[in-house]
Amino acid sequence: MANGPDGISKIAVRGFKSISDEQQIELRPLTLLAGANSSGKSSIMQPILLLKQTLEAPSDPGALLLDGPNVRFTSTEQLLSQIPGRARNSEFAVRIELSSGRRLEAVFKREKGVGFEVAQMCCSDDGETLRIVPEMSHDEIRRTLVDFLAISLATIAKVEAGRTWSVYPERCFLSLRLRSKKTGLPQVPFIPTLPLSETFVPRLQGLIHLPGLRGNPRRTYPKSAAGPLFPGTFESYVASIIAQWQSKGDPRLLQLGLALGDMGLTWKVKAEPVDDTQVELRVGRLTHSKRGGAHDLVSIADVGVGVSQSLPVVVALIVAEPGQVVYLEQPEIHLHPRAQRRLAHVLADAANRGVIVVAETHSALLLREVQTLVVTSRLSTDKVKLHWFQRQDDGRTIVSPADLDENGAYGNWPEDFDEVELDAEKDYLDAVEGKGAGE
Amino acid sequence: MKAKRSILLVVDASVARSAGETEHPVSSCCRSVLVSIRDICHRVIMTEAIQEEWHHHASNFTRRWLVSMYARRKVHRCEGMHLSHLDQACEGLSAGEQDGLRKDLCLVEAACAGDGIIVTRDDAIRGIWHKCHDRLVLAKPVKWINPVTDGIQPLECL
Repeated sequence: MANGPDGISKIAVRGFKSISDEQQIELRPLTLLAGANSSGKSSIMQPILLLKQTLEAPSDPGALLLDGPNVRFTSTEQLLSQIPGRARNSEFAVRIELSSGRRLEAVFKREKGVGFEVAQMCCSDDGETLRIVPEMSHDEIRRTLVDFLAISLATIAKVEAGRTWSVYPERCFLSLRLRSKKTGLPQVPFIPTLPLSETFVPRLQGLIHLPGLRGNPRRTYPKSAAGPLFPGTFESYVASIIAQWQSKGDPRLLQLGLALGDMGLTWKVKAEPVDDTQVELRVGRLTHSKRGGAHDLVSIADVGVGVSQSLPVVVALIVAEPGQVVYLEQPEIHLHPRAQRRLAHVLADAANRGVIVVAETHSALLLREVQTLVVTSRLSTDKVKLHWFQRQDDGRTIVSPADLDENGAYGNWPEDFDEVELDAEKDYLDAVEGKGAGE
Repeated sequence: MKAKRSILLVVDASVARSAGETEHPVSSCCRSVLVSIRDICHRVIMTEAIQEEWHHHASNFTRRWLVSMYARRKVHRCEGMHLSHLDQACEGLSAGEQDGLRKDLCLVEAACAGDGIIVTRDDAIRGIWHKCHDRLVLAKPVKWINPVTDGIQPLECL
């Protein structure tokens, strides 16, 4: 299943927190990550978020910005796998694959007193791999490029024009540059056929991230840009996006109202500028429109928390472009079971538009509704991927993938939502039965 | 513990109904059997006739159980195997027994399409069956399991 125009189709991680051995997840338009608490669901996405926040940092934070808006670490040790009986890892790796088959892998090594450094970067395209390590000499880089690009030494000598090759760290990546012999200064980055700036970087920066904790509803929100890129976490952009949709008469505003109404939350959302720096979000008190209801609006801070927590989710899914990854941590939090079911439809609508929705969930209802959407052909089987995260006895995370068939069934996927619900029901009935029998 | 071989068995609606009730000790035995079928990784047959009976008698608990079995691809939907010479088999049975046999014949037909196991609380049909099954030509022998009197052990030994 191609994820739009060369979107991210696979993520692999190793050596990161509980993901000691390499685990990978295939991303499809609707990718559900499930598993018990602390099973490693977030850990598979956190390296991607680390890259995102490193690339988006206003000043160069070095190889990785550990404490940023998307993920917060305070020491390198917190990131590295430590499995009982094994030596602590000193490095972790993350690999991103695009639907075109292009791959980028970066290995980050902890250097005492320094933090993380990029220890290796591999770019692959059409089966050829370009491996870059920081200590490569001019001759090694030259030989590598000749092999990777399948060009002659004469051709590369022309490009060099008497200059020498060097490896340069560029935040979370490594680049190859030609250094002028006269000035000694590095010149433009040179990574032919795999220009990072045109492939991986925009996809990482384009990722929309909504964490599980989306903050308390506020009386006013600071004005911000309204996309298409959303540095940091997404919730701070919501008010300004709605304000922009309003001012431009964007039909997505109607879509937003319909989705929220369908979820039983509210039928209308309105952004009202307070001054040049702040916007207030007002929402309809009722869930469906009524005569005169257009004026029956209250601050989002005065309605149930379900509205303020779900609004960013729905806006993110509507604003995202095809091929863009939207990573939602527990989109169902604070939602009534009925709303959780309807949320699956909003996720499916975005997936059907080609958005790559990655949702970490504990909701059996959400999963069940996705299954129903598949059975009723409102979501095709090749658009859905399930990943179940489990911790082994030694703490390692193992990921089990599954596909839904045309009946929405996932076979032997180790999902335990049903078991938990069934066991709860059984225990309750057994208890009532036992009490009735005088046990 | 998972079975070495996943058996295709028939679960009567009488078990589905009791599993959702609190009649001691019948209901808890029925629930245990259903949970064991799932845990042991056996599968169930759903013919149209059995499905209809289930719809009439399913409780919250049994609906959840069936949904989880469907999700795990452990429900096999098929037609039962038609049994011929039924009139011959009915010879010597009382009118009531004949009615009972015809009413629950769908369980036997489904069992013949699977691995010949029927899980039911209904000992009456089991008794009738023992009187007449010699007169029928069956693809495989039929084995009956009562969750209350037999428990889950027969399932584990299949």
